[in-house]
Amino acid sequence: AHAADMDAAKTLARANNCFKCHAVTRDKDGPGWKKVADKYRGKPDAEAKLMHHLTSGEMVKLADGSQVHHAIIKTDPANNTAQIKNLVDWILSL
Amino acid sequence: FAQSDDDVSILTRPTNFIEVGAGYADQNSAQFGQYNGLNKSRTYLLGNFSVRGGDAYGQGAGTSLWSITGTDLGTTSRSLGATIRNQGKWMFGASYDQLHHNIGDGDSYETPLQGPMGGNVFTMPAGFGVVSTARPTVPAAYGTQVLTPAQQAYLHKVDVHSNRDNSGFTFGYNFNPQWNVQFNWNHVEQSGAKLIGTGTDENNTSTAFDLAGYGPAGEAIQIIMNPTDYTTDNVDLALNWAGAKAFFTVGYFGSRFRDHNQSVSFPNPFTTTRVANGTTLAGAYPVDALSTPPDNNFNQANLSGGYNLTPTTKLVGGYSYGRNIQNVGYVNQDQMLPGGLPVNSLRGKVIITHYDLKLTNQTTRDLTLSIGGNYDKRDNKTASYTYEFLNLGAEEQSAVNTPLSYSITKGALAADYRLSSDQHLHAAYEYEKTARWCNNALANYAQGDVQGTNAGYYTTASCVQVPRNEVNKFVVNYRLTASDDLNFNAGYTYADRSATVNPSFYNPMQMHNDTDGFENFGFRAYFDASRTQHMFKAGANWQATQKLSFSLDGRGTYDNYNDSPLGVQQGHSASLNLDSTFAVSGKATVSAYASWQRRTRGLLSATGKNAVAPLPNTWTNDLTDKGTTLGFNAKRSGLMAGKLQLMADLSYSLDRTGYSTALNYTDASCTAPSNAGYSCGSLPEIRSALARAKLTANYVIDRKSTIAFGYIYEKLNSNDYYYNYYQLGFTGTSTIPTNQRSPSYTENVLFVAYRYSFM
Amino acid sequence: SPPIQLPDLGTNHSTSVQTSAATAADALAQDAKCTRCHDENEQMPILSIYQTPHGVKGDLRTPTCQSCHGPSENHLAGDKTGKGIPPPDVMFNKHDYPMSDAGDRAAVCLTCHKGTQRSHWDGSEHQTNGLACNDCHKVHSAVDPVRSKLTQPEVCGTCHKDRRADIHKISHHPIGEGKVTCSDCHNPHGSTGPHLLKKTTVTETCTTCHAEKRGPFLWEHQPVVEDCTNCHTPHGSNIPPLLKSRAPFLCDECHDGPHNSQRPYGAGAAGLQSTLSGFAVSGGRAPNPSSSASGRACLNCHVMIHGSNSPAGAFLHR
Ligand code: HEC
Ligand code: HEC
Ligand code: HEC
Ligand code: HEC
Ligand code: HEC
Ligand code: HEC
Ligand code: HEC
Ligand code: HEC
Ligand code: HEC
Ligand code: HEC
Ligand code: HEC
Repeated sequence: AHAADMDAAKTLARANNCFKCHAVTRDKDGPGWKKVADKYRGKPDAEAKLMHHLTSGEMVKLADGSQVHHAIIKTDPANNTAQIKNLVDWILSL
Repeated sequence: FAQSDDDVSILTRPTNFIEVGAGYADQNSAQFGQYNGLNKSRTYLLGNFSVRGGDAYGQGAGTSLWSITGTDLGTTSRSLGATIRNQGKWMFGASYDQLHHNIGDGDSYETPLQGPMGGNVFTMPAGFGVVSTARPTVPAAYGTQVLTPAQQAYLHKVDVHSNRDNSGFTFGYNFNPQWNVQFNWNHVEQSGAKLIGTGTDENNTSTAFDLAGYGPAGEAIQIIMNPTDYTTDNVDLALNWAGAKAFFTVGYFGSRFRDHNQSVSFPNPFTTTRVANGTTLAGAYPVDALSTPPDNNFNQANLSGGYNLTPTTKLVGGYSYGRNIQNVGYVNQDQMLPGGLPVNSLRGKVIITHYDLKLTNQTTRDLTLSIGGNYDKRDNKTASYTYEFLNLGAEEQSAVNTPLSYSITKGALAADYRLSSDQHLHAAYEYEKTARWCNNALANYAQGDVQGTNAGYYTTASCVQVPRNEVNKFVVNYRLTASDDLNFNAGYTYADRSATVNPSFYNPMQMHNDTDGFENFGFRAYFDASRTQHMFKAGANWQATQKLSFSLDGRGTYDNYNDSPLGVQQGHSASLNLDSTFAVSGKATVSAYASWQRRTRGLLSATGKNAVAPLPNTWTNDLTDKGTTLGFNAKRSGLMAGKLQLMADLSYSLDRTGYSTALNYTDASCTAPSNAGYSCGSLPEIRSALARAKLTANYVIDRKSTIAFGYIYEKLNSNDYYYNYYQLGFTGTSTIPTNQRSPSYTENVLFVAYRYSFM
Repeated sequence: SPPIQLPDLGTNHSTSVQTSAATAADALAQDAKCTRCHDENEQMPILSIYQTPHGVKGDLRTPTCQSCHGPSENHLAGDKTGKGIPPPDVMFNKHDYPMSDAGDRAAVCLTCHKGTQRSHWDGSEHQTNGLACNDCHKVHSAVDPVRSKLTQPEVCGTCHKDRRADIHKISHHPIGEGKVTCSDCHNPHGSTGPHLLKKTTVTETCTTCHAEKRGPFLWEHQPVVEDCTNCHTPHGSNIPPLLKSRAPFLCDECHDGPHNSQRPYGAGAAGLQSTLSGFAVSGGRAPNPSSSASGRACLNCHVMIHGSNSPAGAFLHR
């Protein structure tokens, strides 16, 4: 995989408030992304799985136990898969 | 990439740095280096650092913080500072700041005088001889100062500058969260010199000269270096208390000024002996002297406080009492004082008091009201005496000092009304009264009955022309938030100042010469004359898109001095500013601005002397001052994989000031041969055009190392007729040339610096 | 909105003995309510507040996030309605949520910072024109640009553009050079003096640095005693040193009586080298440049313009 553009990935994540629930190493309401990367390390379908996770609004469980739909990522221009892919690649590279 | 814990510590811990480098300036220019220390063409060391620490950083549990910083260490514009504090308990700070002020035209000042810059004794070089004051008889040669070649050889350049070395010390202590004490002490040592004019006794005027329309008393003029060898200590001490509903401060301010000279003496090169009114000034070149500023002390006690009467009604007020004392022994220049001295020092004492009180109320969210008043008084308790002396023209004079007192009383009423969530209206009415007087009878009545010699001026002359001014002022401001992206404001102020003029005004300090000492009837000094003033302002900010914004504002003032038959008649000013910023991308922004300013003033004056004279001839003088400033900034980061950042800062300013005089005489015109071209018409514009460009590049080698390099270009084109007069061969007949010139320059500066950053 | 919880300044804390470590731990726990979500990944470097005096958690006077942004219970409760998270109680800028009213924003800061320099905030030019503290102060950045000498003029210049233009003029205070700054003369928080000056009069303000002009002198010059800005413009001028007008015209604005001041001066004041048309007389030279009109003009002789202490100086000559 090509090297992800970290700045672009972070900018997209910030714009979507991902960091309100995620940090890179630490767990917040959501798991730390390093942990996510570890979980998927070596798995060939990792990218596809995460792309789906970010675009489908699956149910997730927050720290307080409540169930919510996971945020669906928004891009500018809309539905730009390349941008999402870049973010996913960056997460996986952690 | 950065680890996330690192990210936290980068944000919560200080980044320290040490920067060293070199800069090269390619020209000598006192004006370019006026304050920045880069006045000579050479290589300068660049040095800056900032180191901070303490256990409170990084979300620490402690409360200690300290810092040491240094800037511009390699130039005479250096400063150093250090602070240490245990926050919530105490803090100490110390600082040092140097400022080397190159007098604007310093590198072009020439003088034959001997004596070091900064010193207070100047002498003529032996063998210089006497400067010829013979007036040319043919108009073609009027006003040429011809020093002989031998005399010209004595002219030498001096780099005139003055220094300020400012050391400061601060201390703060918190007894508890409510009580704290703050102490601040500043110690300023000034040295060096500034240029000043001097007139000396030489009353050798000629008929040809007088006929040409000038009436100088014929004094011989030199420009000398006036030493600024001063020490100033300012001390501030305050005890503060803040509680839930109230606060107050008890403070002391002290300022102590010491001048290490009492006078500066200089020779009169226009004569070898001088006999005036029976008094001889001895020596090869008679020596004259200027006084230098006397030592003085100012001590002030301050009280201020506030109290919330209700959560929405607040009262604040203050009182201060200050004493300003000056009692330095006079320079006793016997030869200037045929009558001796009435006292040996002034025993000057001025009491300065101040009161203020203000009540604000915001009972509803929509209306805020305030009412307040101020009272300021300068009460000059200094005694008056009659001083007999010889003036520059060696004429015997006697004058009485008139220690001026005045008080200002102000009241203001204001309301802020929220018309709707996006509209605000502010309206205010202000009243101000100024009273002026002298505290002793001598100052007020020294002149006795002058009616005999000056019909119209009567006996009880007071020491001021305008003992009372009253101002009524109305203010309205309106603000509108038209949308999230557009807001607008406008305002109008009307002020009316009326003067109670003492028609018998005759300044007892002025000479006892019945033809010279008076302003014409109807002439008013603009600062206390009756005046109406209109001020308009308006502005708008517009965020056109997320990336593009504009702001535009302007204001205009119109002043009219309707009750001044003579004197300043009107003033007008206008300005317009346009700014725009465009974020090209997250990594590039550009912004630009333009400012335009204009100011005019119209004066009507009269030749002729006093009340006895028939209505004098009048003339007008108009001032126009125009300025245009343009600026442009661009910033681009993220180049070369985020390692390179470029910045450009460009500005251009053009200022032009012009005067023009017109004669309303029936019998004279500008072109009449006897006074051709000098008594009226326009002066050449005083023009300065300054262009600046600063380009900087920062290259980040790694997290610890950055290299900055840059280039500064500055070009000043200054055209000021002021300097014409002091050129060799072009000065008035009894003025020693200095060869000063307009301070134009073209300067190129290159710099490179290495910055080491660490946590 | 519920009342803002602030440390009670009315109680004397010096009696309640708590170590700074315990104070810090409590305060950080309070902050964590917010930093749980708002952390180092925030667009704005909000955690930099820990580099500033506000972030000294061991000092029990310092604020927590909620002291400034309000308790923000609804915001903390999260998105309960599916319409997005409700805003915190106090918003200092307009990004995701509308900005709070200027009065509400300033009130937050004033709970701790009333008195001293800010005694006259209410009714001041800035307050009545709708400014709040954060229109000038950046509390989350390590260095607050308005409090640093070199960058402060830029901050003030964003609104005061005439003044920004002035400091480019040929004669100016060393403001751009970082030696003198706006707050050396002004108290932007409000004052009892004119034009938000730090001291109660112009003269008192100027003489803090120019103490040699304070006097009292034997021979006072009335306009100097009353107000330096009768002749000077403090921010910048085309006529050195910081003058509003050039002598002899400067003097003519107030004097027409004695000798030279009643004379009209025109082009001749520019001196001999001036090449104005119609200026030269026979022989190619203009008339004599009078010492009363040219160069320093009146100030060639009346040099002690700020007052003289010489017994022979009644005409401000010595
Ligand atoms: C409201 C809180 C919240 C927000 C906002 C949020 N997430 Fe999550 N995210 C979670 C939780 C909780 C999980 C854990 C899901 C699980 O393991 O069941 C999660 C899981 C993930 C995962 C791992 C999925 C997996 O299959 O293990 C990724 C990747 C992720 N989020 C990325 C993002 C991105 C990118 C955004 C911004 C568009 C974002 N999240 C916004 C709460 C959030
Ligand atoms: C559960 C996570 C969470 C917690 C806890 C939280 N916030 Fe927020 N905050 C958010 C999110 C998500 C947004 C962005 C909301 C939006 O854009 O709709 C936000 C927005 C904000 C904003 C506006 C940011 C902007 O750029 O406009 C401020 C200010 C703020 N929060 C302050 C606080 C404070 C103060 C606290 C503690 C009292 C706090 N937050 C606690 C998640 C949180
Ligand atoms: C001293 C008062 C104060 C404290 C304490 C404070 N803030 Fe702020 N906050 C502000 C101000 C003022 C702004 C506006 C930007 C600025 O001044 O830097 C702001 C801006 C923000 C923003 C960005 C949204 C905006 O309005 O621009 C967020 C998010 C935020 N603060 C969160 C926090 C968090 C989290 C904490 C605790 C660690 C905190 N603040 C502590 C005063 C404060
Ligand atoms: C709960 C109390 C509290 C609140 C609320 C508060 N501050 Fe402060 N502030 C402090 C304390 C304590 C200090 C440190 C005083 C000292 O130097 O010992 C401080 C210091 C400062 C300083 C000086 C910082 C320095 O570098 O020396 C500034 C500026 C400031 N505050 C501005 C603000 C502004 C603006 C706001 C509102 C957005 C605000 N404060 C709100 C308590 C508060
Ligand atoms: C127009 C700009 C401006 C506004 C608005 C403003 N300040 Fe300041 N503030 C400054 C400047 C400039 C300084 C530095 C003053 C100095 O060094 O003497 C300062 C200094 C301070 C300090 C630190 C010095 C001290 O007195 O302890 C505090 C605290 C402070 N301001 C609080 C506030 C509060 C609270 C408000 C709102 C009521 C406010 N400021 C509004 C410009 C502003
Ligand atoms: C040397 C002292 C001094 C310094 C430094 C100074 N000022 Fe002033 N300022 C004054 C005085 C005195 C006045 C009132 C006289 C006047 O209007 O010119 C004034 C008036 C003003 C006014 C109101 C006048 C108007 O019509 O707009 C503004 C605004 C202002 N100053 C802003 C600034 C700014 C911004 C700076 C920094 C770039 C600054 N000042 C630096 C002394 C100073
Ligand atoms: C956000 C805009 C803004 C900023 C930033 C700002 N000011 Fe102002 N200031 C104003 C407005 C609006 C007024 C009202 C009068 C006017 O329109 O000039 C004002 C008035 C003044 C006045 C009084 C004018 C008078 O005639 O009495 C002074 C002095 C002044 N400001 C100085 C400063 C200084 C010093 C700073 C920086 C520390 C500063 N201002 C920063 C908006 C601002
Ligand atoms: C904070 C200190 C400070 C204050 C307050 C101050 N000045 Fe200055 N002033 C300076 C410094 C520093 C210089 C440059 C060095 C020098 O000439 O001594 C200077 C220089 C000047 C000059 C000479 C400029 C030149 O081109 O040579 C004039 C005129 C002047 N000030 C007038 C004023 C007036 C009028 C005021 C009050 C409105 C004032 N100053 C208030 C610090 C101050
Ligand atoms: C009557 C007009 C007038 C008034 C009022 C006035 N000045 Fe000046 N000032 C001048 C003139 C003219 C010069 C230039 C002197 C020269 O060229 O010899 C000057 C020069 C200066 C200088 C630079 C030279 C030096 O002596 O350092 C300073 C600083 C200064 N004035 C400060 C002040 C202060 C402070 C006040 C108020 C206390 C004040 N002035 C009031 C007319 C005035
Ligand atoms: C703002 C008004 C104003 C300006 C400008 C002004 N003066 Fe004066 N001057 C006065 C007043 C008022 C007096 C006292 C009464 C009088 O003579 O009319 C005075 C008095 C004098 C005196 C008489 C001696 C004395 O101490 O009273 C001399 C000499 C003098 N001024 C010279 C000058 C010169 C030279 C200039 C130009 C640099 C100048 N003045 C600019 C207002 C002004
Ligand atoms: C060549 C030296 C010289 C120059 C230049 C000069 N004066 Fe005088 N001035 C004097 C002398 C000598 C006196 C006292 C006797 C007299 O009036 O001749 C005086 C007195 C005064 C007085 C007060 C005394 C009185 O007569 O009542 C004023 C005011 C004054 N001059 C203003 C000015 C003005 C305005 C200018 C510039 C247009 C000016 N002077 C230029 C030498 C000069």
